[in-house]
Amino acid sequence: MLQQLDLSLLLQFNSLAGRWPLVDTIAGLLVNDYLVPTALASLLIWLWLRGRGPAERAADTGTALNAFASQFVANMILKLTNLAYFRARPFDRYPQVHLLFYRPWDSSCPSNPATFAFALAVAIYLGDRKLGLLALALATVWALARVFCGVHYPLDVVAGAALGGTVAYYLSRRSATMAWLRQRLLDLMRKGLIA
Amino acid sequence: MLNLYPVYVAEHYGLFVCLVALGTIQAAACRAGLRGLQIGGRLWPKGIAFSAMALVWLGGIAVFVLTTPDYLSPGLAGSELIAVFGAGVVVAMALSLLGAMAGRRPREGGDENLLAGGDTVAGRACRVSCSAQDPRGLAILLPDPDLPAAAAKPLIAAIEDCGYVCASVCWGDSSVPLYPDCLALVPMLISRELGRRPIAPVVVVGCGLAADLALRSACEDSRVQRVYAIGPALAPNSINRGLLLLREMSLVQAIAWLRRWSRTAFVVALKTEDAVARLGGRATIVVSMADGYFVPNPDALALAKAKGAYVETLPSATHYRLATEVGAKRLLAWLGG
Repeated sequence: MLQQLDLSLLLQFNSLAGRWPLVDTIAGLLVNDYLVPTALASLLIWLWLRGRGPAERAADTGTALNAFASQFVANMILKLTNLAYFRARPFDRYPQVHLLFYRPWDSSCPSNPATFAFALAVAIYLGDRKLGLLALALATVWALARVFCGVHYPLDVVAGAALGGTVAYYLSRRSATMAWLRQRLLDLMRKGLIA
Repeated sequence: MLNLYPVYVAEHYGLFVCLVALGTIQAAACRAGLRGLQIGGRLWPKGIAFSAMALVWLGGIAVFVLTTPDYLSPGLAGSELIAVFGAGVVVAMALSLLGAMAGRRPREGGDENLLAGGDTVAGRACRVSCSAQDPRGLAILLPDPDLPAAAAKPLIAAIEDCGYVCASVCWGDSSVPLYPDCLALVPMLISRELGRRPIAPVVVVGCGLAADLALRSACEDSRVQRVYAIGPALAPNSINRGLLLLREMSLVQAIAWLRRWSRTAFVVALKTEDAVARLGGRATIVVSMADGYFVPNPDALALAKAKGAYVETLPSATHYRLATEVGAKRLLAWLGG
């Protein structure tokens, strides 16, 4: 039932691909491995340096560290998940899928880009709502572009978003170890003139 | 092992990252007031910094997409993307730091004229000056030991303009106040000047860590009617060790500043917070929220206010401006009023 819905959503959304060159070009700009990830990572540079006072700096640098740790841990969990579970890509199983991207060979679920993007975006959102909304918007369009271009099923990006978001929430709000590590890193960075 | 294949994609991506990171760093440095990261060494207007970031971003995307037809083909692996991104950010940061250093004018250095006609008290060079026929009081000036001697000129001028006799200490460009020897300085200067001519009131003015010394010296000496502390540290944890130092100086200067002497040990030894509590209403303290040297400590400021000190918090003066022109203006208002 869920898989049918997943496939149905994919085919409906992906059926719009290949019709209008302008839409395909925009989708190509959003789906690639370079532009959106660089924009998301640049938000961390912005967070790292933008603080005016010591309190704002500590909070922002802490958020950047949370985001960095979240994407790292989420990616580790994703790699382990991929060892136990493999889902073929939609273009491998359904010839009617319009592929506007190259053919990735790794597991389709959970989506690697969605995991990365939502881990960063949720961690940023928990530290700064306005900047977090921008990051969530970037993560969402990147995830949707992956479905539009036929690289992922909708459920793949939902699973990736859930994985990344959960890890980010846990590390930012619940983990005492992360809070301790964050403080130690902040102290070290201050001594090294980088925070 | 990084293959970075296709090489031209890695090169174009590295250039793209370097450009957008440079734009982001410049805009963030402008917002945070980090002159030591701002190309040219001085803060850009915000509108220009943010417009430049947007232009660099759009231009970078256009150049990358137009010159990299394979951007939708299999390219760099995840680890390679991270490595190239990191390298691009490091290069952008290095360009920002070098650009800031290249554009900064060196500060006015030591001024031997300040010592002309001066003598020595407690091992330190001192100069006494007065432009008034009938002095209104005696001001002991302890200039900031972290700034060149010439930085004290506006304060000396302000004190003289108010009709006070100004007895100023010159730390010298290569030495710093040493605890506990420096505690003898203010009492000895007061005794010497009062021995020459009876004069009242006696005030002590200090800048930077010398403001902490002024507060401590004054609380031990009942002859001092008032202390004016301009940009003191007040508490050991106020001494900045982080990136905010780049508000005042370049990276090289910041490293040298950190290595010059142990300011924390000096403030711990002086027990400035106790001194402020004992001084009560005799103390006037002015700090700036944008001071890159000392981060105003809210607890220390609240304690000072609670004990009756007059505390003035300025929103945006750098430490250098606080210790020179802004401090001079405040002195004119305090002593002249």
